[in-house]
Parts: sequence; C-alpha cells; structure tokens
Amino acid sequence: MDHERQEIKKFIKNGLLFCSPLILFFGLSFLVLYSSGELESLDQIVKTQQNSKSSLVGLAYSDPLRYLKLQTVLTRKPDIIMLGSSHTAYFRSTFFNSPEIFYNASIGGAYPQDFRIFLNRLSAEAQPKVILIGLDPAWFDTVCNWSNYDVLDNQYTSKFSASNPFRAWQFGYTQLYKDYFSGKFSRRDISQIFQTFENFGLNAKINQSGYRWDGTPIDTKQIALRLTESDESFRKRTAADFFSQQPERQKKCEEKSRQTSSEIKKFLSQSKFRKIQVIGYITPYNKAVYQELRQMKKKYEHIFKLGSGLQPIFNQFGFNLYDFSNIAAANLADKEMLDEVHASEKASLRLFLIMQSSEPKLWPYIDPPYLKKRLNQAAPNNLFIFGENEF
Amino acid sequence: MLFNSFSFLIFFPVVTLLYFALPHRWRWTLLLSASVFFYMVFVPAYILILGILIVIDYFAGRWIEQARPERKKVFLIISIIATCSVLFFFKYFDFFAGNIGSLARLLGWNYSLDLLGIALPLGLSFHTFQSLSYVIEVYRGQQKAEHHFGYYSLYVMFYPQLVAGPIERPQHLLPQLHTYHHFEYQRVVSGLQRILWGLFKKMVIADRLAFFVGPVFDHPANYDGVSLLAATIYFAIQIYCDFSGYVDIALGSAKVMGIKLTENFHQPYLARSVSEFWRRWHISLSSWVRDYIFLPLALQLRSWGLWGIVGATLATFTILGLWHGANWTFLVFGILHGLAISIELLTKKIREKLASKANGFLIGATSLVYTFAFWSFSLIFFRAKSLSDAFYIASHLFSGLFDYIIHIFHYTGSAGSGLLAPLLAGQHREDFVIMAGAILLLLIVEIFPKRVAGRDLETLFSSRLPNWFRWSAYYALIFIILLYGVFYKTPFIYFQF
Repeated sequence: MDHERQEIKKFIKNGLLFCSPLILFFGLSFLVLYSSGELESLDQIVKTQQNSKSSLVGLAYSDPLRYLKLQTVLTRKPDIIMLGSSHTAYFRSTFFNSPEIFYNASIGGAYPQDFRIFLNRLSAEAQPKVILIGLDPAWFDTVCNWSNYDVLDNQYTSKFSASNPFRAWQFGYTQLYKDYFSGKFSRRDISQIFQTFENFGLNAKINQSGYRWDGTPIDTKQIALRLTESDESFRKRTAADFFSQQPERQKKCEEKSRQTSSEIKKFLSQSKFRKIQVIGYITPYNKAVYQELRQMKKKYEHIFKLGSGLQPIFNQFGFNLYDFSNIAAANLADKEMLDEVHASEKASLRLFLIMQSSEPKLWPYIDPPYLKKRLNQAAPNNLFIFGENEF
Repeated sequence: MLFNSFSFLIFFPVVTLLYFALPHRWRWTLLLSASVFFYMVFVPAYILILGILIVIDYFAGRWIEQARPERKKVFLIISIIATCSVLFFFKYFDFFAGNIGSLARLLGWNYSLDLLGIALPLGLSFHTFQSLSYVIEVYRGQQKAEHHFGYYSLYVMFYPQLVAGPIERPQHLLPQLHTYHHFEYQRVVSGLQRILWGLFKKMVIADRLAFFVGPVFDHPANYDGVSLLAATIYFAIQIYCDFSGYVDIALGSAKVMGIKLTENFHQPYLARSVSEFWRRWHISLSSWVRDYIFLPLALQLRSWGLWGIVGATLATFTILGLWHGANWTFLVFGILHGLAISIELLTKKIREKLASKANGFLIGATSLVYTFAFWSFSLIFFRAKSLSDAFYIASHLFSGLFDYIIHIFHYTGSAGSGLLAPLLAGQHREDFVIMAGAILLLLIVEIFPKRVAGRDLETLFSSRLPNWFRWSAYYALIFIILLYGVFYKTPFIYFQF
C-alpha cells in the first residue's frame, strides 16, 4: 500500500510537471480566443451589435453567420432584407430612408436552399415585407456543391449556437499559433484584442474586418489591394483567376440546374403565400470574365439563358427578376467591381436604383434623387459611396 | 464514444481515477457502468441487444457446466444458434433477402422478402465471437463458467475492447478482471504512451489518408491507373494505422488499469506469405477462426488429406470474409485469401526447393513485396462500394502506369506538380507531405527499433532512454497530433463490423 502511494505520488508529480507546458500552450490560446470574442455566445454578439452600430463581427475561427443573421432579423424585424451569397453582400442600409428598415442577411457561400430555410425560420411577426434575392449563376454549374438541407438547417439552430464556442476553440487553439507564426498577426496586434470591446473576433479586432451593424461586410485588406490595382491588371487577374482556379466552373449541370430552379420556385411560392414581395436579380460578372464567357458561348450558353429561363418562374408569382449578369447592361464599369463576381457598394447601388424604378413596394422606403445625388458625389475610389460607419 | 473524441479525453481519466480510488470489490461495478455508458453514447437502444447476448451466454455457460455430458452439447448448440441468430438478423438478413429476391427475379419468380433496413449494432460481430468463445471453452472444459453475472457482463462489455476487439478468450480476460491491480507508475506510463501512439496513427496518418482514398474509391471512373494504384496502397496503410491505432488505444487504456489485452498486430506488412500475414494481422480474429472453424473442419475432412486442409481453408476464409460485412465484396475478399493460402499450401514443397537454391535476401524481399501487393489488391474488394467498382479498379490499376514511369525518367525538375498530381487525388500537396512524413515516422518507430536494437520501442522507452529524450518525444508527438491531426469525428474503420 505504501509502495502504491509512492507510485501515485510520483505519477501526480511527474504528470503535473509534464502537463505544465501543455497548460501554458492551451492557456495562452484560450486567453487570446476568449478575449478576442471568438468564444463569445452568439446571442450576446447579436445583442451587442443591436445596441451599437459601430460594432464589427469578424470571427476568424468559426462560421456561425447563418445563426447570427437569422437572429438579427428576428430581433430587429426589418421591413426589407437581402438574401443571397457574398455576391449580394454590399446592399447597405444607407440605400434606405431609415437604417432600421433594412438588413443584409447575405451569407458567404450560401446555397439555394438557404432562402427557404431562412424563410421557414422567420416567425410571422419577424417576416419582412420585401425580400431581395441575388441568384448566383454558379448555383447552376458543375462545381456547385448541393448541400444537404438538414446540414444547412442545423446551422440556424440554437443547438448549433450553443456548440459554436466549442467548435471555435477546437479549430482555433492550434490554428492561432499557425497564424501567428505565418505572420497573420503580431504580438502588437494581440494588445488590440484587449481594447476594442464592441468588436467580436480576431478579424474584427486586428484587421477591422467583419460584418457591420447592417449585415454588410468590410474587408480592409481586400479593399486596400483593390484600390491600388490598375484597371488593366484587375481585368487580367480576374479573368485568369476565374478560369484557372476552377476549369470546370460554370459548365452547365442539368441536375443542379433543376434542383436550384426547383428550390427557388418553392421559395417564391412560400413567399407569395406569406404575402412577401420578392425582387430577384442574377448577380453580375465583371466585363473581362463576361466577355470570355461569351467567346466560349457553346460551353457557357446556359448562363446567357438563365434570365429567360428563370423569368417565367418569378412572373408566375407576380415577382420580377433582373438579369445583371452583363454589367454593361446595367451601366456598370469594371472599376466598380471588387473582383470578377463581387459588386462593390457603388455597383450595388446602381443595380438597386435600376430595380427600384419598377418596384412600387420599395418606393415608400427610399429616396432615389438623394441616392443618385450621393452616387454622383461619390469619392474617386469608385467603390464606396457611404462612410464605413454611416447607417 | 470514439477514442479520438473530446468526450473520451474526459471519460478515460475520470474512469481511471475512480478505478484506482475504489476498493477492488467495487471496481467491476465501475468498469461495467463505464462500459455501458461508453456503448450507449453510440446508439442507446442497442445496449438491449448486447444485454440479450450476455444473458443467453451467461446462462448457457452455467447450464453447460452443470449439465450431464449428453446434455452439454444441446445447450452449446442452442447457445450458438441463438447468438448467431442475433448476428444474422442484424447483419446478414437484408443481404440474404436481397440476394434471394434478385435470384427469384432472375428465375422469373414473383417472390421477394421485405428488407428490414436495420442498422448493425456497433461491434456486434466482435461480441458474438467473444461470447461464442466463452461457451465453447466452457463446453470443452477449458474454462469454468463464470457465476458472477457482473463479471461475465464485464468480460463481454469491457469498454477498451467493446467495439472493435481484440476478441478476448475467457481464460485470458476473466481472471484479470477478478484480480486486484495495483497502481504501478511504469505500467501506467507505458499504457499512456501506447494511447498517444495510437492517436497519432489514427488522427495523423489514417484520417489524413482517408482524404486521398475516399474520392478515388467513391468515384473510381474519374481517376487514371496511377491514381487508382496509389489509392490502393494508401488504403493498405490507412487500414493498418486505423485499426492498429484503435488497438493501441484499447490496449493502452486497459494497461493503465493493469489489464493486459491480446496483441492484435505483429508487424503484418513484414509478412512473407499470406499465411504468415494472417498470423500477424488481426491476430485475435485469425486465431479465433483457426481454433473454432478451421481446426474442427480440418479434423472432419482429414480423410481428404491435403485437399481436406485446402477445403477447410477455403471455407474458413469465406466465413472470415463474410464476417467483415454482408456484401459480395467481402465474400470475394475472403475467397481471395482462402485461395492464396490454399495455393501456398499446395506449392509449399516446390517453393521451399526453389528458395533453397536462390539468394536468401532476394527471396525474402520478393516474398515481402508479393504479400503486401496481394494484401493491397484484396483490399480493393474490402474498400470498394460495390463489386463493379472493385472490378473496375482492379482492371484499371496499371492503365497509364507505363507512361507515368516514362514521365518520371524524363523529369527535368520543372514539371514536379505533374508527377505528384496523380498521387494527390485532388488534395493539397501540403497534406501529402504531412502524410509522407508521418508514415516515415511510423516506419522509424515500429520497425527500426526491433531491427536495429532488437527491442520494440515500448521496451526502449520504458527504461533505456533518458528522461529528457522521452519527454521531448512525447511533446513532439502531442504537438504533431494537435497541429496535423484530423479532428473531425471520424469513426474507426472496424467499427462497422
């Protein structure tokens, strides 16, 4: 018994000694993750951002955007929302007379099923009067992954929210060190974590990037890069990126097209039933990419038929669909695009002004002459019209 | 509960702490409760099936022991039928029903049996064999029937080996469960070392290899011969690391508590014949089928001489193949091994004669390569989703290989990515490098100590190497797992059996 006690004491002593560097390793990363808000409860994030328009949400080690955006809509009950992928992310609340009217619930990497899931999770009290939706041509191509409905739906639930801090920790506790040693942030940056209380996530605290109060993103690094790029370089890069990264991209996939069209139809039908007006548009490509797609027409002709193919579905429910895949048709210039598929705030406003002219439901909420005036007064950078924290 | 999960990280120390804190008379209760909890984390309802198996064989054991000699066999047969019926119902019913239906349709009969679509309770094949081993040994008089229901239940449900073995013989495990185990520093450390090594094999090698194997076996027609060949070899490594990794964690966990489970692997990829391979791979299963299927069959067929042994071998491996799964692919897998071993038996004398005349090293190397190649080839049927996929892969393994080899010889240094692409299955080069490095570490740890120092690494680590070296190695391994381990919830391959 004495010998056994000695063995146990030896094990405890050596065990504590052995574990101390590990405790330090985990402890440090936990401190950084906790202090930066990466492990914050999602409901708290929604609540804080609700009360502070300058609050940014830029989580680096988790992706709970679906839950966050849904809860924000349920909390604020805006009259108008935007649904779509990152391609529709720059429609801002400043397009409207009052910032509380609008929330951009776009989700980077969204799937067509997200429309219906989002709508199903909106209570009657929280449902908007108008939903703007952006349709990615990519949802009809071969590389579009058709995600399982239940898997996506789960990301909108409280169960997902409850487990999010653990997931963030599980991914973040080693990724943090990898990012530090690869130079993504420095020791000086870490001090900012303890200062900016309203921002959540390392991306928000260190890079001032993330999602604003109105749901639109701000990515300082991407913007800085874009602003320093010449038009010629931008055109060459975006075309090369688009066609080289995914050579099979945009090739038509019959099955995916059917699934996506069917999903959109179900969404439109439910919106109609719930008396919600839907305004849809096909998101744009920049000119360089569009022209190349045109030159390879045989391979990509489905893109040019998308508008005419989807229009009847929208019309069936009394809704309109605008085909902005060709930015020239919307009087946009390449310099107003962030990249080959993401329209900037300025480009998004132009698209919005075109759509609103035929949408009486929007008229009580906007002041087109004012918006046009702001458009004309826009700063020379050609990407933004409104200030970062202007709502 | 998976060994490579956060819950196990909490479960294991808590159970172990309580184990050593409790007096011996309560330890079986703790271990049994922990094992029940461990199993119920998967699908709670399936504990009832395990319970039924335990009750059947507990009473069967007692009745066999108490019965008159002429009645013993009756109880044994009833027990075997009942136990195997449970296995058949959950594992094989749909397979046979489906095939009978297909045959009926082929013959133009209007007949079909409704499929049940029931999921297989985790580890049922293992529990079945372990329970059968118990009743057979009691029948043979080689094991006294366990009178304590709790200890018998623990024998079947002992959590380290609950889900995927090793299949323990009652003579080996039951006495250990009854014995009081002291806390021994060196033994506990050795057990933890083994767990760490098992986690490395599972999370860094096996789960990373799955990224390279999965896409190819799921859609083989999208890949050329070199990719198919690469994926076949990767799977051979994946399945070894996955299963032996699990076994390391199982054995390590048991060792911490003072219980020695059966070693299930002994450097199988150093085997020089398929027969030898099965003495090194999944040893608890191969010894089980040898003792309870092959030897009785061979005895029955002894009048056929060598052909009797061949017949028994083929039958044994057919059953072994089917044990792995209710699918034609597993049947073919088993038959392939049965045929290979039968051929080795029939050509033994000729081969020995040839070997005596040839260079020993060359013979050894050739045998090693042949055995690994055969095993990898048979794994195509093990892993493929269907027979048609398996045949497609097998028939296209070498297509484009010649061109690839020529490409290597014309390599000028600037087309590196072209050489590597068929080996990546669409994954990142970084993952390939991590995987290759981890496999190299595996070779260094599992093969070279024995070859060079004549001792396995466990022995070396237990006493021969200085503290600072050992602790550095532990830290290195922990950080390799933390940085490069795959942390999604990936079940062990053998859990499906």
